[in-house]
Amino acid sequence: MDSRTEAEFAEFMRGRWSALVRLGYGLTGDERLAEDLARAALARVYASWPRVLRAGDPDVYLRRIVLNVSLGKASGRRVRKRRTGSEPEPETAPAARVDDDRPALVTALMRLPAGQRSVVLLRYWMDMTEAQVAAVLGCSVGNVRSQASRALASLRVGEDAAEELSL
Amino acid sequence: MSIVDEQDLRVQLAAVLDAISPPEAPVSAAARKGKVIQAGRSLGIVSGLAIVAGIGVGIPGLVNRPAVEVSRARPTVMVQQACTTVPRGAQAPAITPELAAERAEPRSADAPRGGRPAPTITAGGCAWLKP
Repeated sequence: MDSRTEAEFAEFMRGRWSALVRLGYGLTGDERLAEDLARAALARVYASWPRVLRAGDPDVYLRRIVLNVSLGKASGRRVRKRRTGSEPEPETAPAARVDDDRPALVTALMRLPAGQRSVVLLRYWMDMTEAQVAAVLGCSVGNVRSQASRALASLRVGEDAAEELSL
Repeated sequence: MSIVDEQDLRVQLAAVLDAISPPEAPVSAAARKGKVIQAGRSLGIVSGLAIVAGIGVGIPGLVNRPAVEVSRARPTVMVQQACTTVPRGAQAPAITPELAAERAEPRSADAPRGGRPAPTITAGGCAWLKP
C-alpha cells in the first residue's frame, strides 16, 4: 500500500472508529471487547483495502466484518467453554451477567439471539433501512422484518419478566 | 427499562450507545495487524499454487506410464503327439496322412520383429470333437 492509500485508510478509520466501537458495545455488551472487535474489523479492511475501495461501499463491508467477527468471537468463546468441560453457554448468554452494572437495555440486548441483536442495532440505532440491513446481513428483507419484530417482542417480554422477578 | 415502540427503542439505544466515549483510533496497530493478515494471505496463495503445481507435475507422471510393448509376431504352435484313444462320447476327427504330417512339423510364423519373443504353445494331449 502506498502512502496515499495509507492516508486514505487512516482517514477512513478515524471517521468510523467511534461508531464502530459503539456498535461493538451493542453487540458484545463489553467496552474492551468492543474495541478489540473494531480493531480486528479495521485490520481486515486494511488487508483488503484496494478491493474494498473497488467494491464501492466500504461501510457495508466494514459493518459486515464487525458482525462476522462478533459472531466468530461468540462461537469461539462457546468452543473454549466446551473444551474446558463445563456446560456450553447458550447463544444469548455470554455477555449477560447476574451482577450486571450495565444499562438495562444493554443487558436486555445481550439476552437476544445474535441475529436479532444485529438487526436491532443496525435498524434502530444506525437508522438503516430494512433493505440496507438485509444487504449487510446477507439475508432477505422479510427476514430482517421478522427478526426486528421478534426482537421488539422479546425486549417487551423481557421487561415484563424483569418486573415480575423484582416483585 | 420500558420500551414502548420502535421510536422509543431508537431513543434509548442512542442514549446508551452515544454515552460510550472510545479512545483514540489505533490506526497504526490496525495497519500492522492488517499487514500480518495480508502476509498470511500471500503465504496461503503461494502454498496453494505450490500444491497445485506439485499435483500438476506428479499426477501425469503416475498416470501416463509407458505401455509394455506387445509382440506382433504370431505364436508358434507345436503338436507333439497324436491321439490314440477316443474318450467316451467324443468323435474322432478323420486324420489323413497329410494332416498327420502337417501336425507333426512345427508351424512357425513370421520371425519376431522386436519386442517380446513370440510365445510357443506346445500341446501334449489332443482335442476331440464332441458329438
